[in-house]
Amino acid sequence: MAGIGFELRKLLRKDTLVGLLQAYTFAGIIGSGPWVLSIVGILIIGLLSHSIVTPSFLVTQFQTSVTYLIASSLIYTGGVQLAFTRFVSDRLFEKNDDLVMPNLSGLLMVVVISASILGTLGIFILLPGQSVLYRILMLAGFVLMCAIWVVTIFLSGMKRYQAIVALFALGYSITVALALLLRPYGLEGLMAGFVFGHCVLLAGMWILTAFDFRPKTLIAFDFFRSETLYPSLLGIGTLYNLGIWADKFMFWFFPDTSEPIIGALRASIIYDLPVFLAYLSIIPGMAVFMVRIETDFVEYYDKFYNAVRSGGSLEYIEAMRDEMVYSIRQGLAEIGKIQTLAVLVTFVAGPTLLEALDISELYLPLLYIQVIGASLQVVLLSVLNVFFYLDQRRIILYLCAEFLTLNIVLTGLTLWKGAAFYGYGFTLAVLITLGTALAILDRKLSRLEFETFMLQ
Amino acid sequence: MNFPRAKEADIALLLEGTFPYVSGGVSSWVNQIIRAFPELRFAIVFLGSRREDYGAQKYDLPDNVVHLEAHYLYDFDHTQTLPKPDERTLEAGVSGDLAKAHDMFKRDCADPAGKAALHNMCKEIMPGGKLPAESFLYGTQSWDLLCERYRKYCTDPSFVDYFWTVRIMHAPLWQLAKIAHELIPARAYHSVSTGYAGFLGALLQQTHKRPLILSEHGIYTKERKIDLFKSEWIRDNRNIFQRDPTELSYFRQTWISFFEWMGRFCYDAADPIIALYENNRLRQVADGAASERTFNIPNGISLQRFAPLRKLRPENPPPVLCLIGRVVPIKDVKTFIRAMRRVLNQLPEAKGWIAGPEDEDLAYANDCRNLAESLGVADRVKFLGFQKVEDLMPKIGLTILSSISEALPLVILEGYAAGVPTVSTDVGSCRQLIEGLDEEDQAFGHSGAVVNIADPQALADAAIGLLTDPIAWHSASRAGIARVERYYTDDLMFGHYRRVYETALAAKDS
Amino acid sequence: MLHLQLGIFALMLEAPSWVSALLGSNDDGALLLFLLAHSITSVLVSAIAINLLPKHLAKPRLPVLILIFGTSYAIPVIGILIIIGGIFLLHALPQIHRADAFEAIELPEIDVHQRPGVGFRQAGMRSFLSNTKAPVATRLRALIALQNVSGRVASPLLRDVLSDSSEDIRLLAYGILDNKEKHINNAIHTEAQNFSQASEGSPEQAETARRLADLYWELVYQELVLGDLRLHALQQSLHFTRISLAGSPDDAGLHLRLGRLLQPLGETHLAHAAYNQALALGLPKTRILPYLAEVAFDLGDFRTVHRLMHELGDWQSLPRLQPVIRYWNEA
Repeated sequence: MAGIGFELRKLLRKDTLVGLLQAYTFAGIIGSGPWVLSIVGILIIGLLSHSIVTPSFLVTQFQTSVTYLIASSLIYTGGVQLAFTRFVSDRLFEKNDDLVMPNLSGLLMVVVISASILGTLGIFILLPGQSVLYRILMLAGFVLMCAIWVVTIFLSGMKRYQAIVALFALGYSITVALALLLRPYGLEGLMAGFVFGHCVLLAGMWILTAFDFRPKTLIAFDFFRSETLYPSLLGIGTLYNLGIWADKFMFWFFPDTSEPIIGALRASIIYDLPVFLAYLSIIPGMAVFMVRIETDFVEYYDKFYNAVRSGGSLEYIEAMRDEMVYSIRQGLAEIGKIQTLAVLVTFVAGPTLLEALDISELYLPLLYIQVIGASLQVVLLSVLNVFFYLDQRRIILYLCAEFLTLNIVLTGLTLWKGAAFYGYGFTLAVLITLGTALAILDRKLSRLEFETFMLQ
Repeated sequence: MNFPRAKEADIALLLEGTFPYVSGGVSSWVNQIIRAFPELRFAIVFLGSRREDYGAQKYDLPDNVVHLEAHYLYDFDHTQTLPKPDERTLEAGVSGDLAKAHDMFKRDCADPAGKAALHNMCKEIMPGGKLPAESFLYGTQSWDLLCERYRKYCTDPSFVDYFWTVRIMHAPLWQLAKIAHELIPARAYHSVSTGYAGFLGALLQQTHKRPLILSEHGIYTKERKIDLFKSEWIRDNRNIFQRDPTELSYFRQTWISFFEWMGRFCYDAADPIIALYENNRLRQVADGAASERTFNIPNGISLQRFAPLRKLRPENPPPVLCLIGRVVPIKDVKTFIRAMRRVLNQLPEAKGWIAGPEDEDLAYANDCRNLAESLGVADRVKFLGFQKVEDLMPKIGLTILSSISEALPLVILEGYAAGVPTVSTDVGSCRQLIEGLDEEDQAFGHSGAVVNIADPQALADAAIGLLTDPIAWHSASRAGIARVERYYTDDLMFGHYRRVYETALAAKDS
Repeated sequence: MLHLQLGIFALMLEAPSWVSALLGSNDDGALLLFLLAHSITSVLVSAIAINLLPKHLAKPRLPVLILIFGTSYAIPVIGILIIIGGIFLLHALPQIHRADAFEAIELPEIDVHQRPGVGFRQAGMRSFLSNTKAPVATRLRALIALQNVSGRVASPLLRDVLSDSSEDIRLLAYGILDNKEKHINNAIHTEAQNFSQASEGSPEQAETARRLADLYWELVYQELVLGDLRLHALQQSLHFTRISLAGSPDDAGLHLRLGRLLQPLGETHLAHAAYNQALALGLPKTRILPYLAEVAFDLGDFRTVHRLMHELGDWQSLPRLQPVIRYWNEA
């Protein structure tokens, strides 16, 4: 997400409370990413239609459908998202801007056609006996989501953060509005709203891209050439998304914690809502992380590597390394503080919140532990991001694999142990992975110059 | 190209950037020596910078060269065979020696403890030693040492330049150690310069305990200094506040010290250390050679080759000034071209010839042609390329040497033998060759004229003086003939070297 | 015509009446039927759409076809709208050039790598350099410092030590001189080529001639050439100055240059005329009077020298000339 730093610094430099607030809001929204935005969207649709749409089972069906769409599309495109981010920033660094747009179309082509095939299979296998219209809408939703993730990644590579946020806001407003409008038509109506809203979102993004580039060719496939495609990034993206969703899928398909919702899709009411609520609590953490890492850390990171490349003195290089370490430490400490605050707020407001959502207070411990887990995930994410800056793809790949494995094993363990342990699996998995990540980061940073020079 | 290979040899010649790939004074000297001892089996180790810098062999290998191998120290292809970067650590003893030896370079080059440490290190860089190349490239200790020394000594701020200077400087050492390790056994080693070849010689002497003979023509260290003073590729990153105007760029200085160190290392191992003439011998002593091991053997030429040419020349000297030598900066061909401007102002019928290969430094050769063009002498100054000296001698009136550095140039001797006097700059042994060394020598009279370096006006005037005064010219010609016949014949030189070789071959393993 | 027919056919396939019947169903067969019909529609749509794209964007054909097909297939009805909109956009939109954002420039850092410099004496460079008793290393440092001194001052000093007894000093001095000269000579060579390539009498040629005159003059001024070479450089500079003057006869600076070239070449009267011309064209007196005085001196007209020097005496701004002015004004 390099480049956001500049915008943030502009805001921070205003040195007013409003400027500060703006900076953090901006960072929070961007940092938490489209993924959190879409979760917020689902929650809002759910909340709004809760009282109006009857039977309420429809809302659950709708929410579950959308959750599956988001999860499956994220996992499916996770790999190419990261790899394409790298491709875009490499090309921009080489000033080969012309290559970017055709390759976006090329990637879109591959994603759209493969997602169509996959989706077509999916609506036959996973949703047998559902209405034809619903299934067609699900297919459209899946392909749309896949395409949207790819274009989102592209636009953030182009540093159009504000546009992304604005378009997501627009897309989701339309989704919510149409869903409410079309609710008399039942599940199909809600889904139609969802699909149409996302069509607008995708179209808007595409128009934005076309505004920026007047492509000389429509489609190119340089991205798929072996010298520009990093297999490790494909692996990281897929593993990371799998890791995040692994515990949820396990809860959905464990008989004790789930129920069938529509077709083969199942959901775990007790697990899902606390989880999604918990993810809302990471927004402030993400904001802090963005501000720290993208401004301070990146500034010193740039200075460090500039000094290395263009003949800075060793003293200066070391000073910049120390500043990098300091800003990381600061960032982590601040995330820690803010997330502690978020956890405390959840502890205080949790009961009221659950009551308002009509969920049994029995799930309160689950909410608490999930909030802690999500908060830790913010820290893990920021450490991973630092590794990305240091281009340590092997380490990230290892950490993601570790996270996925731990999440599966530990979640399985908690499912076997019983309800009192629900949620601990995910949180422990994040905690252990974070511990490893910090240990490796510590070692990396203490030998940064050595590795930069001697082991290049 | 198939190189001859053998299991063993009598003398291993260590040649850096000369025979058989580069033509020039030193190469023809090597050729002379090898052919003078047909009873000895020679092995040749050629050291070059990069393979593409050298064309085909310029000399036919004599039959008694039984073994030839060529190595290129700055061909970085071999990096591919290096192991993957991976952290290494060193034994404590070795890293202690490393620090000691490096401290010696900065403080006192004669410090015995430092010298011992250095010799120890040079053993450890041999294949199988405790200081393999990887430990230099990827070792934490080598990194620490590098940082420490950067902090202590480096006056140039750029760490990345420091880092690569150190790397590039040290990298060939391990390659040389490997060469030394794998070379076929020889009964004596003979290096024709210090520098990398001299370092290799010292390593060989240390490992195989056979004597190392060192014959220096030019002084290698000095020649590298000239290159380094002139080079523009070495970076100076000091800004106006960091720069002490009296200080040479740190990296330039570092390279100079590096070559000085290699020279000293070679002097320590070599016995005898042979110079061409007294000034060079003194310089060797000043640079660290033990005085009792040094002596002079001047170059000699074959009189039979050149004496018959005297009859072929016209009675009066043709107004042709001829610079015989490679077109490279050290020969300062530009000063000759500039001098031709004045010569032609005074003597419009004169001609200037430049006879020598131009492929060694194409940019410089081009500069020279441009200069001739801009001085308006291009039609009278001819670049002849490589020529047979025998063909040239009868057609020219003077041999010209405008070099900024020389040792004991064969060209002057060859000219003398053919009866051609010379005008030369006051470099190397040229004054001795022209005005005579001792009283007996001086009695022959001047066989030409000596002028300062980079003084085209004086060079031109001296040449005009000789060419326009037949009496002076003939007297100089006679003096030259007498001098070369008395002091500078190949028989004399071969006699000296026969004794050197006999002693070395008979030496017991030290 | 074909497009139209295909379009109508495509619309018929999506015709609401029978589609809505299918959509209402829950049957896998109905879904399959719809998807089949829809994919045929999408194939037709993509076949039409690709021909409507700007020609240069329609290649490579197959991927473009697949992209359009995929969009139309995955998102029924709206997909087609998106495709139409996209095609329209690709035709209609001019490229927008956004102004680049301002670059932020960093404050300079405090440099931790500075070392206290070793002071060196400025005075007495000539005597210090030629003092063979001084240690070679110190003299070398002095010589290195000369690298940063302008050629006019450094050249004579460097030339002096070319015959020094220490070879290191000789070589370094030679290296410095040679580099200075090489830079100018390389420039001369490039300009000479430009000159011969420029068309006769063109402004470019005049401009090149001027630069050549400057460069040859630089050789003389920095005392990089002596004797016959100096003469040659003077003549060349004169030659090019005259060419340049032919193009711009009213350039006072060129007349001054002309005078300064003619004077050492012994053309004293011509030089005098050139100086006067420069003066007439508006060069300040302070710049010309010293040269006019020189010319008068060469001609033996000491009365004029005296007068000119007196005139110069009113100006305080010529520190290096002050002793000379004082001498003539005393007499």
